Amino acid sequence: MKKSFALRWAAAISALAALMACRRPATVGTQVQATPPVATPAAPLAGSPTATTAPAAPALQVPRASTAVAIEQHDDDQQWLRSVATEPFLQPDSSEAARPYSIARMLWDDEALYLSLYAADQNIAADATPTDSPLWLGDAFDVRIQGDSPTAPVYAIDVAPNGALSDARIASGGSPDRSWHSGARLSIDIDGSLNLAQGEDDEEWVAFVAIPWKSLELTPHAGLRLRTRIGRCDTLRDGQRRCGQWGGAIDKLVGTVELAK
Amino acid sequence: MTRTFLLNCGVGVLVVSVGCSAPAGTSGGAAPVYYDLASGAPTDAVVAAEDGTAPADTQGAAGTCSPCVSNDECLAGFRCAQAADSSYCLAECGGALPACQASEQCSLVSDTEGKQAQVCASTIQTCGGTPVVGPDSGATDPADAGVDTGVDTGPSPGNCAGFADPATAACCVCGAGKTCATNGCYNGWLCNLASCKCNPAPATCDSADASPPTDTAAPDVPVSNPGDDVVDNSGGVLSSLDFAMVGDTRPPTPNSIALYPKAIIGQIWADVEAEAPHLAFAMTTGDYQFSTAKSTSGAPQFDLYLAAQKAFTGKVFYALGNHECTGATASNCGTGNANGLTATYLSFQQKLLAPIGQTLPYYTLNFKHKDGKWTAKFVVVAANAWDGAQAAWLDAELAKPTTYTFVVRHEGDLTTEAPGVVPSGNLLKKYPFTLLLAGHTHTYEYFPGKKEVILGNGGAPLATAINYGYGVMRQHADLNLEFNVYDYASHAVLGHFVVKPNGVPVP
Repeated sequence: MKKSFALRWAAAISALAALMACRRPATVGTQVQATPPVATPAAPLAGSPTATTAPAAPALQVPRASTAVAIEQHDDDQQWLRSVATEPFLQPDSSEAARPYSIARMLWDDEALYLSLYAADQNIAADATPTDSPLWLGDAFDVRIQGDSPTAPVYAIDVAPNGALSDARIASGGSPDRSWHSGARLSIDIDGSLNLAQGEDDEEWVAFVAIPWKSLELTPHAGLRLRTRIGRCDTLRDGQRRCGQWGGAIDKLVGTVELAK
Repeated sequence: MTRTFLLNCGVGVLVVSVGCSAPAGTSGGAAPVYYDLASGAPTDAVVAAEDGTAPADTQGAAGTCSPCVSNDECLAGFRCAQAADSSYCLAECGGALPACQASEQCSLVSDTEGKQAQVCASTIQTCGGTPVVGPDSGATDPADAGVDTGVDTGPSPGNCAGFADPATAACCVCGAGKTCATNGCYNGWLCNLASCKCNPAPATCDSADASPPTDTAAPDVPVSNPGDDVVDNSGGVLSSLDFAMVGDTRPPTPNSIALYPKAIIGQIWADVEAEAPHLAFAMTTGDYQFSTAKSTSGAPQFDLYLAAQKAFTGKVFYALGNHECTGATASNCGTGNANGLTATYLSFQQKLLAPIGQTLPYYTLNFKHKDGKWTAKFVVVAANAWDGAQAAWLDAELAKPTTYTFVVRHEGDLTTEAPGVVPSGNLLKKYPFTLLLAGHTHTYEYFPGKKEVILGNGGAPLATAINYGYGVMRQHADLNLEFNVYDYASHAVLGHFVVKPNGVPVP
């Protein structure tokens, strides 16, 4: 299943808009979680829907890591057992569970925000490898983080199962600035085979990401709240495109991540 | 397929292969500290258990450090939450609740219901030590006791149900610095297969009526169904060859109690129980938990699975998945195999196989019609515990003529890196069979040409658009078999086919 990535950036940005068929912007007032989020809901962020206008937006209180967090050798790292998990991702603009299944887990410390992004995947595939390739056209997670203000810049980080990373800073009302680099560390754990032959079955892939606070222009502290949205798209074996998300649509970050003590 | 690890350090992609997990660690650790439930202070009075277990007067108390699988098992003011690789009742804190001890920190965790809670953190560290499950093994140092510290077989304990003698591999973990016998204990102590802790031989050990301490090595209690169906550990007598199939019930991330899909699994088994006519038995296809090599979280996950499975009153049979070995699809467990006897493999034997009277992960179930109209065998293959003995057994079993032959194996035909898939597949080519019932891939698929069913949507993270669910096989009067896959929430039919006893599809 080879895909061509010989797209120019202008075309890629257009394609991103077209991709909204997969990541349709949700109407904020209709954002619904199938079940309450794992975390105790935090107070709504400034400009977010309130309880009087919409069901509670998903929220997480992210535990602080007590020791260094392993990104490269995570399997038996006790820190990840302290992490908090999102609810399973939902279909875009829907309260229905997304398929394939995806969740995210989070931790923080003084250096970085840590994410473990889990993707069930029967056919793990990725081709693009250059930094800032349009990973969102293939199988990838898309993480969007914004400070507690609707006018704060949005930081977008996409990761693919081949370890490729694409990042951008999007100023309020502006277009993606691809010259920004997150400095994120990334490791990928694949249970299966990348780009395997048609007909074999994979199980899953997990991306472990450490995003330095410095690059997010934020100072971490207990109580810091971030607008967050995490999405994932996958191309099934039959060619169907499937997407899921936590925290709203790609242009409406309604998920709340609050750093806990 | 292999497990592969890729790192991106900002300058490119580095690919690092991660090999199969090693067998479970054998190191011990500090004994757990128990707390006075009134004052919250550590107390010597309850630290004195010699085998690392809680003393008798605290074993039933669901306070700090009491193992648990749900909040219901904890006292008021405590939450059942994961600590290290198991779950314990932990004191809540924060707000108006009493402050933690000076050495503790009030920390945010997820409890086993998936809800966040604040609990005293140093308690987590204390409870989370490996000795909670893998205790120091004896009351005294063997050297002090005048016992040979070589390979210690100790005095002969006799035959003792529910315990592994020193010469038998078991789930007990040898204490640090100790020299233990094969069962993980020293000084001749036995390994209690229910608690995975070392105990002296009970006085009743040599008695013929010595009863096991738990449901392990449970007696073979036949399950009777309306219509005179009887199913026991070896198979049964049925009026109709009807059964359920459930596959792959593990959580998405390793060692995670909080993310264990017990609600989904419980609903699936409740749905199976509600099937009419009632089903006398069910086949499952492996991957009941997800734990890593250094973890002992397999046992509590099996407990969660079994608790969810209780919704079904019929008999359930189990197959070994790759996650019951090391987790790697290519792993191979069992004595003499590359990955040996991992903690998870031993827990699988103890928690799932022993109650159905099996000691090996491969076995045969024989069924027949009450009036002799047909016979059926279920040949349960362990592709992640493959060896020559299993190959010879499978060859012999498949050669026995029956009206129906079902081969139950975790991995399907396409997952060729599992050690037993190709060799067992080669044996299958020699003999007639009805269907290969497999899981591993978290979806439903039917391959009529290969006579293979994949059903792995029992609660594990779904890999395709197919929802969670289960399968039901029902026999027609003409002896053809009809298979339906049901959505666990809507009961919508997700898949359907009919085959003849020889597996040939019926249009």
